[in-house]
Amino acid sequence: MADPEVPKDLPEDALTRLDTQSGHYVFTSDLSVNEFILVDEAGFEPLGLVMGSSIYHIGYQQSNWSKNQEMTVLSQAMYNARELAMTRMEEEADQLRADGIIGVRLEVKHAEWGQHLAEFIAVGTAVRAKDGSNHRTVKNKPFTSDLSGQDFWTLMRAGYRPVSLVMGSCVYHIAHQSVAQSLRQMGQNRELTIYTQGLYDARERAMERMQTEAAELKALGIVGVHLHEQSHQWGAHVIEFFAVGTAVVKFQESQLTTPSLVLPLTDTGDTL
Amino acid sequence: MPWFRKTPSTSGTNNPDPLAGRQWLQYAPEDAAQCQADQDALERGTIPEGAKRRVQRTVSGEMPWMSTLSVSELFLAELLHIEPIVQVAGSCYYHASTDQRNRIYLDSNLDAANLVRAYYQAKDVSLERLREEARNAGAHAVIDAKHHFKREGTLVHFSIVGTAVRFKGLQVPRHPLVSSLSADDIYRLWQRGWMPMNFVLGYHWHCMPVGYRTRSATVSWYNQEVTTVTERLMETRNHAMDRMRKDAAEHGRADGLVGVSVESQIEETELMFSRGMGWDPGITIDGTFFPYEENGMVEVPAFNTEFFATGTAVARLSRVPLLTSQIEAVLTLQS
Repeated sequence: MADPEVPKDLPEDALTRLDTQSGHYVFTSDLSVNEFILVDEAGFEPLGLVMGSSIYHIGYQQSNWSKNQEMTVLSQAMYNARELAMTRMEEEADQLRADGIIGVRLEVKHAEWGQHLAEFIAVGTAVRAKDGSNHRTVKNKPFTSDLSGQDFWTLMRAGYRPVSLVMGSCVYHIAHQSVAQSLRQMGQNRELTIYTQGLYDARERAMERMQTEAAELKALGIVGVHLHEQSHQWGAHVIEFFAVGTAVVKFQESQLTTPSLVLPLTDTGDTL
Repeated sequence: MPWFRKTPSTSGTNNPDPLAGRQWLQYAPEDAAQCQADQDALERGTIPEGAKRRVQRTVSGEMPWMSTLSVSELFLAELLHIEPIVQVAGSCYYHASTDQRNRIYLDSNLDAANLVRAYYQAKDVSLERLREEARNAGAHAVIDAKHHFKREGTLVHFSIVGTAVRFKGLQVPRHPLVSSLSADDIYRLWQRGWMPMNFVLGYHWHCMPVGYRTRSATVSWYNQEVTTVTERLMETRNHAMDRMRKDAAEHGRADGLVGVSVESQIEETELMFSRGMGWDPGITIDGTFFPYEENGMVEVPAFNTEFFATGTAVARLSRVPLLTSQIEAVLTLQS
């Protein structure tokens, strides 16, 4: 406990739990058996399940009825709360002297007991390189990634290394049309560019924020980007664009062999 | 008097204050002039400044690339000499013409031609915007394109997001290929001599007024098929699939469709008929007489039948795995 790098943010209970874990070395994880074997194969060992959470009160912002505008107060809240949860999870991983966290899940739950309260949770499995090599980010934090154990293995073999889970959020109010405008356009088949423009603006902002975050970590690219478009509970004209993906860097040549064509007899049937 | 006093965070526990010394980020609000400029750009048929800037900064290497590809696809892409460049998107909100009470006009066949057109326009305009971003990035194709359609009343919204990729060593075409298939699927098709060609849509919306005969079948106590509605839904399906084939043929060669997903829906609604120029006392539908009211209008119960399908058009180029030259030829010939 005399480690000067021990974070200052974790509750005593968490510290006790993490300490016990590393001592006895009964690791906890949410990896499936396949994932566990592949993580082992990739040269890492799981250390423990780590999590961070933040219960956040989201403030209020008056929107202008007829204007496309970002609800900056809400955007900041959505980003800050996720960041808080992520940082706490990273601190737990630090406590375990982990190199990184894989299989990170980032969830938002809206509490029923408070109208503007949201609970942000980040959960993942902390891992450490068995050969003692350093995989931490340029900011000396453990790497994070939302990739599964399988994907983690493939990524490492393909010569890429995850750097960090990167994200960008933008809560945007899309303008209502004025009555005069609506009346004018009623009898026409036409594009409503005011809506399109609002959507573009919101999406670009979210993506740019994610990209900037990756650039700051000197990443080469971002894989597995998901763009979520959600209304949460702010009504139909306020949407949140949330972009999230794993930033990667190239660290060696690919070691994978040419795959052969396999046609599975069951369709996975995954859709967006 | 402090109304909103912060309670001391140390009460009861000896946990440290987790928020001490943290710096909060601040976002700048948007610029009204830029919003207007972007809207004008959309009206002119081009894309907003922000989208152009993102593509340009990513291509120049100032920013890291992004892609919707999963890890295994990324590896496969490398193997196939496909290089992900940047994530690209296209969107459009299209409004179909209505009257003052937000009702839609039907044509003489009782099809909602305006609404069908709105679907196709929203799709075509969005795809063109997606292609423009891809062209700006110098891409050969947009793969793994995920789309979504949403309709609220007569307002149709379409968005599509995919990854622009470069095929190493090939000439850049004027018209990048758009496909909703993953790199994985494209690889399999290529191995079998097939080439994905386009994202296609099949949509039709028909309104069917019903009289007593059909209504009675829906409320009777017996087991019986409501054949008229079944038939009408099948007709709607035929129209939608016809349009889908046409949509595929319009945008280049197509020998078939794969990865098609289908939705259909029947809804209860009302249909207004107006007397027009003549002096008919009313109209007869399905054996039931509906007299015109004093204003020359009559409201008739009806069913909406709606059929919606999306998929990828594919063309057979060979019986063996495709050669690079064949892929290049197809891309250059795309119009």
